[in-house]
Amino acid sequence: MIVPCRDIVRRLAEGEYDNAPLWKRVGLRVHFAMCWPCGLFARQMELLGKAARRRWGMAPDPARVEALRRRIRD
Amino acid sequence: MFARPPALRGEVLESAVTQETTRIIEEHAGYLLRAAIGFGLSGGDAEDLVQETFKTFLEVRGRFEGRSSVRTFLYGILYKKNLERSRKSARETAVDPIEGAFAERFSRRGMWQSPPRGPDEEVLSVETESLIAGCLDDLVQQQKAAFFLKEVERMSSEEICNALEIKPTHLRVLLFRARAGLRDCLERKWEDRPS
Repeated sequence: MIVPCRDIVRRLAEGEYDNAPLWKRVGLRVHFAMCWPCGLFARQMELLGKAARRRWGMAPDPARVEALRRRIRD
Repeated sequence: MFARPPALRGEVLESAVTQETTRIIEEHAGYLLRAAIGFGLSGGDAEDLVQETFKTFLEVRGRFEGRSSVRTFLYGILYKKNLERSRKSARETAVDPIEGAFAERFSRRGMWQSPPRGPDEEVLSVETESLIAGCLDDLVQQQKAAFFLKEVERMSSEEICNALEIKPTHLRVLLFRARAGLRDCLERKWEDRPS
């Protein structure tokens, strides 16, 4: 049975494929190869994650963290 | 060997608790500050929230049963404190507009009738990043927290559910709304940008 695109991208956004078994991910890749809108949607999901990690993934300024630790301890 | 006098045993215990607390502050303050900023708070507010989080942690640490990691427990407190601060705007609505917008993109058979548009590039450009940053700021609290813990902290779904005290089905809804909402926002901003 063919899974509709709507269900594929919804499950993708819900994180169902994040730690999916290999066969499921391969099936997804095959679908993306045949369906450019789903492929684009998936790449844009990755782009969003990358942007969030670039924006917030850095450790905060060490001096600021140390000042905060002092403030909490005191 | 003689038993320690009760008072001294108390002091030793207190000193051990203080050392453990100091270690927890040393180890987690930076991560919590990053998360507070990720939840959308600016400098001073983020620091206040982290301080409140540790204060609450000290009050409730007796309830920590070790079923999750200390960091997950602290994220949970941080998240709840942040919700308390912005209770009105934080409430997750039963119906999110993104659900309707998403449904409209597909035919009744579930096939694309309005395919996605917007950036498609392997390398993230500065321009795309700033567009996405603006969209991230617009997410509601619960969605922002779920998205942040998943994408930035790379926590498992189980850990996020523990920290936010939600069920896996709710987490799926939050992640869907966050990601689909961000994607729609990026698409709009991409098309509106000056060429």
